[in-house]
Order: sequence, then structure tokens, then C-alpha cells
Amino acid sequence: MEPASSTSNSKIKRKLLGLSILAAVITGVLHALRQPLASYLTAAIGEQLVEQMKGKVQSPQEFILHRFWDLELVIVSGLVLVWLTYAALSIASRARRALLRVLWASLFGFVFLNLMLSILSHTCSFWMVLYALHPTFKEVSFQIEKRLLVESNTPKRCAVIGSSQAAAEIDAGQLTSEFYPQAWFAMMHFAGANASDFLVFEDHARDASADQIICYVSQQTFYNSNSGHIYLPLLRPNSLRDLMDCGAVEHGLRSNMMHGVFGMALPVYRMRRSLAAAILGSVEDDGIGRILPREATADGNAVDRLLSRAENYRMDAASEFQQRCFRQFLTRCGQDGIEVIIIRGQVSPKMEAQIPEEIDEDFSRFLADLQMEFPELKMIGAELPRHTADQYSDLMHIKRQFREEYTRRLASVLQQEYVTDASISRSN
Amino acid sequence: MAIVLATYYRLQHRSQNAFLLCASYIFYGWWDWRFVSLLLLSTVIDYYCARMIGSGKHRKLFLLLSVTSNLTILGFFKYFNFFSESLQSLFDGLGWYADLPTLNVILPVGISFYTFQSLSYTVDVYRHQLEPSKDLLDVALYVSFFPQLVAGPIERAVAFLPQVQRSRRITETAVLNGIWLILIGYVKKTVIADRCAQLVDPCFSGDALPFTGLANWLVLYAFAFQIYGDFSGYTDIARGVAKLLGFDLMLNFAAPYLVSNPSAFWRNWHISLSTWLRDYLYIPLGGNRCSAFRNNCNLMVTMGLGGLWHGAGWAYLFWGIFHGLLLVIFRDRRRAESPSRLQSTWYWRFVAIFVFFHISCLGWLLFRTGSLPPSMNQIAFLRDSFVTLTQASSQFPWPLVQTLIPMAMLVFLFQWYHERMECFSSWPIKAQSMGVVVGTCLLLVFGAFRGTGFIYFQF
Repeated sequence: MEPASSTSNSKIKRKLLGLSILAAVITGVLHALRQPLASYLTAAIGEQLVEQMKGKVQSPQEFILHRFWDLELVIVSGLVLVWLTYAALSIASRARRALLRVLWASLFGFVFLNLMLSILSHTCSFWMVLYALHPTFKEVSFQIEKRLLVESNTPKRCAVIGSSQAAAEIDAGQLTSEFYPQAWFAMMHFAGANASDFLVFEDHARDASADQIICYVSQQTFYNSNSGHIYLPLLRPNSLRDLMDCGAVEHGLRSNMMHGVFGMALPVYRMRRSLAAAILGSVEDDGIGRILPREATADGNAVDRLLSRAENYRMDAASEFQQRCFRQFLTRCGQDGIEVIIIRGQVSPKMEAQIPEEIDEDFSRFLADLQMEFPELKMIGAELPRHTADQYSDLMHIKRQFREEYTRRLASVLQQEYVTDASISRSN
Repeated sequence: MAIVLATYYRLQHRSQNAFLLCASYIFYGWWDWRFVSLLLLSTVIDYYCARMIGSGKHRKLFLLLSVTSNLTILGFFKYFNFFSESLQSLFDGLGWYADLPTLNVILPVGISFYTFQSLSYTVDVYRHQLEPSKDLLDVALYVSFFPQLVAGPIERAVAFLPQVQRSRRITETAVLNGIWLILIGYVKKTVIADRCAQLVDPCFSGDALPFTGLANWLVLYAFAFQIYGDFSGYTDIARGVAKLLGFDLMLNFAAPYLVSNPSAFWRNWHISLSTWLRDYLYIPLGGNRCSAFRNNCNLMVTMGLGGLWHGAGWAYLFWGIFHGLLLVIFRDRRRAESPSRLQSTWYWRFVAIFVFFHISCLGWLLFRTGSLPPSMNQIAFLRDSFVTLTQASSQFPWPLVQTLIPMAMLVFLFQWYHERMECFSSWPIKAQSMGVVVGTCLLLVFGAFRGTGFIYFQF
């Protein structure tokens, strides 16, 4: 394979120069005109935007300005990477051996692609495109919420984490609407099925400059060893070290952590589930379950499954591991100046009756110990309404119509008890 | 693999052969050490038979010995229970009492492949197409060469043995092409085959397909893509590894879903098997140098046995007969009428390809089920499709369409450019690096790493 001739190199250079000039012009125009453009778009679609985003957009103008910033970032970084790729290919084409030329060129191309993906993943727009392709994928929602939290300029930024129970009970958009412009709430329930997930999440809360984390915890967080883990897209060096200190390897998490380590090194691997969900509509462990026609007894099966899950909650080495992780999570939050509020979650009385008594007692004891160990920790439980059995769609998730009332009560509690900044008040 | 290559490149020719032979037997023994002796027995029998055939003494007798021993081994391990149970069913149907024995026999991995390969050696020697090798090690390596031992391609001694016997020079071109073939093989397997398997396997777990009408065709498409990705992916990996070792294995898959007739299909699908059956079964039976009726019978026998080669079951036999019928009908029509001008237009070809793809999918229905339940045979399937043609299905699985579109694009891309895929080393460097980067990203993003084994390993 002959290296590229100087004539073709000149042609490519001219094309790249033309592309650079065009990109510079577009970026310049965007930068100069983004304020008036944002005002125009706000007037045209602002109301629909607020309605569509269900409380996640409070200031359409700011939201649109951030999208222009995303676009500028993508154009500039894309251009830089195209030039770097061209330079790398030129260097690679000078290698004498064909095999080395291909290997170098491929390596450079792969590295630059990962760099571009990494840059894209820092923009909310990228995740919104993926969300449009597959709206129900939790990881994408998590990333959008995180980016919106970063973009918010409210004095207080609060992340809500927990399992799907938290998302069923708490409407973060509604909380934001209640407290804006003083506080912003982001529902990040992708991380939170286990306490060890909270430890992984803490790095992301710090990145998003969160001041508060509301942790929705229940017995499932500590005593159910079968919950999923989310290390692949979220693992960072700090949390890797903490997880290993807590003994994650002994608890069968080695494989998950390995995936997380690969994800740390390779953005394309880190985002594989989101990209696969967006393009293929499924990820590898989805199965075809959500596509197959559902049996009439599906709901009955879900209830039986949840009841048997409650019966199998255990106090064992695995639950101690989860408790260690949660303690470490609280320690890190304290070191990073993040305030933690714990909501003691609830389940249907039918399911609660199946949970072994010693689990309940241990859970209460554990929470009490945490309050003594971390005096700044705040707990909410008794102040919130207790759900009745008929308010649940299965045994763990309340029906949608009860979410608004629960969130309103939560907002009230937060306002009265825990939002300590005197200048922060509810918008009504 | 890395250890094998690193050691292999340091050795001289004869040592390389000995090393590869050891590696191949260790590889095979890793699957199941109990059947290493079977592989060795088959090899030794055919080596000595070929030597005796080459010496000119009792040529037919030793050919018969080789054929009989290979087919006996294959027949015993693969078909004993099938014939026993079929005879039992026949006797039961006729009201005769007979308690025929069945044996708890494990099917040795790759037996269908290496017995055919070994058999082709003695037949080629008999036909004077090849001189018998005086070195047992060379023949043993030809039969047991590990990249293609368990799932082909079924190599011919005429093409492969000379590569074993001469010293090999591993060029940069071969290494580049080998790495590329391995990469696209893994893409076909983990991205296409294993992703489709996640859709297909649950659908075939019950007594009937889960959707109604046309939606069930989506499941068939998924299986068609799965089996292509699985089998051609394995072949690509085998050919890529062989290239890294200095060997050239034959092309086994070209563009089987871009053909418009069954004859072209079998020139593009599992080429090593179809050419083996043509050269060692169809042509000795008379081929097409006989009456039309006899020719049709030869086709049906060849295809029927070809179907049975895939599995000891009536469904595989009927699958083979299904393709035999298609070939018979196609050839009869071609004899009866010459192609019109319309048939040479691109849109006629497009329609013909579209129709034939669906016909071959109907064959895959039988192949996948491996049995003949009333609810999943082709007639019921077609009837269901046409009955609901005008009815809107409220549960049409649109998410399945979203998954299948990228799979279809990949499958047709690999088939449309299959010739270009063979000469990666001649691509411009930008295209090469883009190909490697895109292939690697496809693997990392879409690869289903918790996938299933290779389908054709069971044959």
C-alpha cells in the first residue's frame, strides 16, 4: 500500500481548510446571534418547551442558550479532531510497513472517536437525541437530569436518588417548579437500587455541583442481593477504590467492576447500552420480554415475584457490605460538603407483612446508628403520608395519580424542615 | 491463540506442521478428550487406504473401506438413534411389536465436517487428482486443522494438502486480511447472530410463534440473519486465523440473500458443502448428464442427504427435500423457457431476490424448529400470514422492526461487498482504518457478549 501522494494531500488540506473556515463562520455567527436567536425561539416555542419537559425546563431562554453552547462545542471540538485525525493519518502513512500503517491509523482514529464521544457525552443535547430515539432508557434520563442539574444556576441543587420506587413517588420536576428559582431537583433514580450504587453515584453528584442528595432508601436497598448494578456507565476511580475497600470483589461484583474499568477507559464502551438502546431499541440483557404479547396473568406474576422477594430479604455478609458502602457514601458526601437527606421508603402493607421482623428492626437500628454517626444527616419518614394498599399498582410502586400529592407533601416538609437557607421559599 | 502464533512464527516448516498438529489435537481434546481417538482413527484409516489406492492394488476395495469406515463412524454417532426411533415408529404404526435399542451416544463435535473432509482425500486420490501423501503427519494436519475442524469450511485435499506440504511464507498482506476477517467474523457473530438470537430463541420456545400474521415474518427474518451471521461469522474467523498461519481456506459464503434462484443460493451458501455434495454425490449419481427425470431424482437425493447431514431429524430431511424441490422446479422452468427481456431488468431481479429471500426463510422455519409441529409448519405459517394480511394487528411488534433494520443493513452490506471484504489489504489506508475503527466500535457497542455458542457446532 503506497503512502498518499503529495497531490492528494494538498487536495485534502484545501478541503480541510475550507471546512475549518466554514465551521469558524458558523460558530462565529452562532456566538454572535445566540442571544437574539434564543429570545426569538423562546417567544416561539418557550411555552411548549416548558410543558413538554414537565418541569425540567424552568427558563426556556437559558435552556436554548445552553443548546447553542452545546452546538458550538461540538463544531469546534469536531473540527479540532478532524485536523488531528488528518495529522495522525499523515504520520501513520509514513510507516514503512503496511500493517503498521493500518494499525497506527486505526488506533488514532479509534482514540479520536472516543474523544469525540466523550465530548459529546458532556452535552445535554447528545443525550436528548438518544432520549428521542428510546425514551424509556433510564441511563439516558439519568444523564439528561445530571446535565440539567449542571446547567441550572439556582443557589441550591438537589439530586434525588433511589430505586424505581423513588421515581414512582417523587416528581422532581414538580419539586423544581415549587422551589424555582431557588432550588433545582434532579431525579436520578438510575443509580440507587443498592447502597453500593449510591457510592458510585457520589462522584457524579460532586461533578454536578449538587449541594444536597435526597436518598430514598428501603429494605430493598440493603437486604436484597439481587438488585442490578450500574457500574459500566458510572464507575470512577474514587468509587472503584471505595468499592474495593468495602469488599465488592468478595461479593461477586468483580465482573461488573471490570466492565466499569473498561468503561472508564473507553467512552464508546461506557455508552454501549445507551447507544444500543437508541439504535436497536434494546440492550443485550433486555430480552424480547417487552416485545412479546403479554399474558393476562402478568400482573399476578409480578405480585408473586415481589412477595417472594420480600420473604428473601436477608441479614448476611451481603447486607453488611451494602451498609458499609452506604456509610462510605455518607463519609464522602461529608468530605465534599454535600448534605444528605434520607427518606425512609415504604411498600404496600401486603408486602410489608412479608418482610421478616428482624430485617425491619435491623433497618431501623441501622438508620438510628447513622444519625448518631453523622449528626448532620437528616431523615424524613414519619412526616410523609403512609400509602394504603390500594394506592399501589404492584406492591412497591404507587399509582401515578398519588404521586402529585406525595410530592407536594414532600415539598412542604423540605421547605419547613430542611431547606435551611432563609432566602429560599416556595415560588407560590 | 496469541501463544500459538508467537510460537508458530519462530518455527521452521516441519516443526510448524508438528506444532499445529499438536495444537489441533489439544484444541479438539479441550471440547471432549474422549473423541480424539475417533479423529485419529478416521485419519489413520484414510491415510493407509489412500496409500494403498495410490499403489494401484485393490483400488476399489480400499476406496470402499475408506467410504464405509467414515460413513459408519458418522452413521453410528449421528444417525443410530434417529433410524432406530424412526423404525420403531414405523413398526408401531404397522402394529408390529419390536423393542429396538437406542443408545445414549454423544455426538462428537465436528464429526460431520472432518469425516467428509477425510473422505474427500481418499476419493481425490482414487480419481488421480492427488498423489497420496507419504507423511501421516501431513494428512493428520489436513484432517484436524483446528481453525476449521469443528464447523468447516470443508476443505479439499487438492487445495489444502499442498499448503501443508510446502513451506509457508506469512506475508503482511495475509496478516492484514486475516485480522480483518477475524474482526468481521466477530462482528457477524456477536452483533448480528447473537443479537438476533435474543429475539429468536424466546419466540421458538413455545408451540407456536408468539405473534399473528405478518409479524411472524419478522421472527423468520431474525433467524435468517442469525444463521447467516453465526455460520459465516465462524467461517470468517476460521479463515482469518488460517491466514495468520499462512493457509488459505476456501470461501464458504458469498451473497446468499442477494440471489434470485435456488441454484444461485447454493453457489453462495455453505459453498464447501454444496460443492462437496456436487462432486462426491451428485455427479457420481449421474448429475445432469442423463434424462431430466433421472437428473431430478439425483437432485432430490443429493439435497435430501444434504439436509440430513445437518441433523438427524425428519425436519432436516424435509428441509433438504424442500430445497431439492425448489431446484427441480427452477431447472425444469429454465429448460422449458428462455429468460425474457423483462427478466433481465434490474427491477425484475429485485423482485426475484425479494421473493426468493422469503422462500428461503420458509425453509429456515423448518430448519429452526427441527421438528414438524402442526402449528409451526410452513403451510400453517403461510395461511396465517395471508389470512391476517388485511387485518391490522394491534400488537404489531414495532420494537422488533427497530432492531431488525440495522441487522438487515449489516447483513446486506456484508453480502453486497463480500468480494471487497476479501481484499482488505488493497483498500486505501483511510478506508482500512475506518473499517477497523467502525468494526471495533460495532463490536464494543452492539456486541452481545453473553451470547450463545455457534449453531453449526451441533452438526
